[in-house]
Amino acid sequence: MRAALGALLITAFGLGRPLGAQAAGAPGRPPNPPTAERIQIVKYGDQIGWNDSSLSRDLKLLTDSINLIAGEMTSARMKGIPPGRIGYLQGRLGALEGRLGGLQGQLGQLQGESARHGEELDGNRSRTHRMLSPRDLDKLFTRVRQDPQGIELPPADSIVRGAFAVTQGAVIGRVAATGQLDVFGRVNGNAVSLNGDVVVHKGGHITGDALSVGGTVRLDGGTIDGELRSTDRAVAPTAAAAASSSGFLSILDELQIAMGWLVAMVLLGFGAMVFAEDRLRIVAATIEARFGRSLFAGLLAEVSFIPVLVLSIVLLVITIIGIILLPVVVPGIFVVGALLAVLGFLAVSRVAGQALTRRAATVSVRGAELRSMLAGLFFFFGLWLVAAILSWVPVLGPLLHALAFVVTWAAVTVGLGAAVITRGGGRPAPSPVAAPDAASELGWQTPTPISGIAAARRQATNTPEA
Amino acid sequence: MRTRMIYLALAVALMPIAAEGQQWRTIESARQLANTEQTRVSLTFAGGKFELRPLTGALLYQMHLHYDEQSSDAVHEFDAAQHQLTLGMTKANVGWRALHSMNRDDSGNMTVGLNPTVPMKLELNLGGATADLELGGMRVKSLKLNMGLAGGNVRFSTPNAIVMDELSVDVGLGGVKFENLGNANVSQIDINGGMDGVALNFGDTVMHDVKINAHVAFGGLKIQVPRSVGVKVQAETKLANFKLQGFTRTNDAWLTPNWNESARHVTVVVNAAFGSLEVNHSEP
Repeated sequence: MRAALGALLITAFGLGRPLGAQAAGAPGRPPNPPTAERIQIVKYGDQIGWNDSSLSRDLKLLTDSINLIAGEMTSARMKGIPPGRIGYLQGRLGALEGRLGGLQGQLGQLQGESARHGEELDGNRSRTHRMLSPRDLDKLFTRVRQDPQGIELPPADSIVRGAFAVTQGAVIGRVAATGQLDVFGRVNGNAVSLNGDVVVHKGGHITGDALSVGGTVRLDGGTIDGELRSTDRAVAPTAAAAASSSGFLSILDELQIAMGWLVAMVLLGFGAMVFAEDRLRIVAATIEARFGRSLFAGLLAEVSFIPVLVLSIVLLVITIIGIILLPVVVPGIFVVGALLAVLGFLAVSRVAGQALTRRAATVSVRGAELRSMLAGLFFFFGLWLVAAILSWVPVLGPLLHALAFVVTWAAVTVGLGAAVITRGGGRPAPSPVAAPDAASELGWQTPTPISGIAAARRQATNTPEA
Repeated sequence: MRTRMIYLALAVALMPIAAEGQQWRTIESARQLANTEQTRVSLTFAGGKFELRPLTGALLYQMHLHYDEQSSDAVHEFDAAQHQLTLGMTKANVGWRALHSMNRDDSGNMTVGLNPTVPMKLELNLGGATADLELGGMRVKSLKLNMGLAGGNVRFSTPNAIVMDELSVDVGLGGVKFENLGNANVSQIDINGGMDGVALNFGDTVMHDVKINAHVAFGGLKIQVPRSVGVKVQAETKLANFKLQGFTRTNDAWLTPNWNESARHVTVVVNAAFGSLEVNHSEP
């Protein structure tokens, strides 16, 4: 009973042929044998039947229900469950059969409509095929060969122009045609239809893959050992796709990111020059005066950021008011950290820029500072741009990336440290280390060192003794 | 000279934008069923809509994929010796470019049908795709579901035909909703994350004793269990809303009154922070 119902359902699905399915029965070809095991790959662009067709969904649910009840019946019979239960199940099965009959009627209607549309589509396909000149066909072959989703084709002169059928009992090697390909015999290898369908009829066998470009692959009772694949069209890799595969697009992506950061930092630099000029100066002065201390403070800030964040959250959540403040404080910590890092990086850029540029006599102090900062930013981001451009070079690319990363990280760390030391430039800059005063240096020296304590206190000279 | 440099810089900055064109294509792929050996199935998709259904017919799988080939490569591989099926997109391509492109206008979509007679170990990596999975009636041995930015629905409308060893769900920013999870025939469920919440609705029946290990933050976890099933909850919550209706506290756990008598049990071990935990032990 169960098998019979299953077969009935499969037949019902098989009747709902996709558009263009009627071409299989064209004159001059072997007849299309009726079969209860017709499975199809729908035409591209159509959704898979059970996806958006309520009818197919109903049929699927029905199948599941029938299978479930049939399973229960088998199990009930084996376990010797009272006949009352079996009778109930049989009743439900009968009801489902009735519903199945109704759905089959609807399927029949759809089949009629499908046939009409199919004839129209076949007509269109034939016209399309006739329009392809030998040159166009050659282009199509090239595209299919180059297409990553394509397949290896036989030589162009071995590709059948137009529709082709592998007759029953025939055994051939791989085959390709520019129209519909009907397989009743055996194909040892791939079978390809360009601009048509591949239909594998009962008894037909393809040992490789079946590909249809612009059509469908359909099983009409036959066997395909490999993949059934259909694509809407053959696409030779375009320049962009080729670029993508060669890594060119990734270079462009990297360049875009680096340029984006550069533009953002330049804008932030202008903003800092306008709104926080003094703070920027103080941080820059701190970097110059206390480079080592800034680096240490920066490292400490980076290492302690997460613990401080966690500690802040813990301290906040133990009090009611802290919980209320939590949504403000946690983002606030991130914002303050980011601002300090940006301020510090801009200051480092200015200091680095000063070393790279000469101040023109006509440029004001402020203009010189701006120029220095821009030069510094171009230097740091220039490293990333160069690394991006040369990223395709096997060893040099990664090395340049590493260099750019280390230099940028060091700059950010030093800048952050200086910003932290000066509390964001709010503290006055440390006074530069005083140059040794010649008079005081001489003051403690004994004028005429001869021997004894005074001689021992005399500063040692670097001049080697004779 | 300076003007030239500016033009060059602009060109370099804009080139990637210009090269970001889309090229949509559609691929159908399928394979006939050769045997019913257990198969490992890996499905990867970046963005758009993803659907998974059991198939009717003698195919191992059937895939419909509509994607932007400028941003990703389609994959449809089957290793017959290893019983390994890989469909969708290459993992290397599931980056921001693919996500951005495939989500644009909801154009990207992937629909997969799998044969319900083949026991399968499913692994789904769905990036930013919105998922709709119907796993009822299939033979799912294990399910690993990694969802990124979007969320989805997972249904077991009919019973899973074999016992599922493990169901693992890793959700990022999106949420996920399971329907009729009792039909999954699963013994162990692991849940991680879910900014938009995770909902587990067991439906009317629970086929197997289940242990749920959940680590959720911000989103929350909502579990609906039928009244006939005994439920035990061991929860560790930090600033999480905790709602258990009809439970009694026993030592370190919350139990339903029918815990000792019921034939089926659901044990929930949850670690929740900043979210909510809700277990409904009633008729849905």
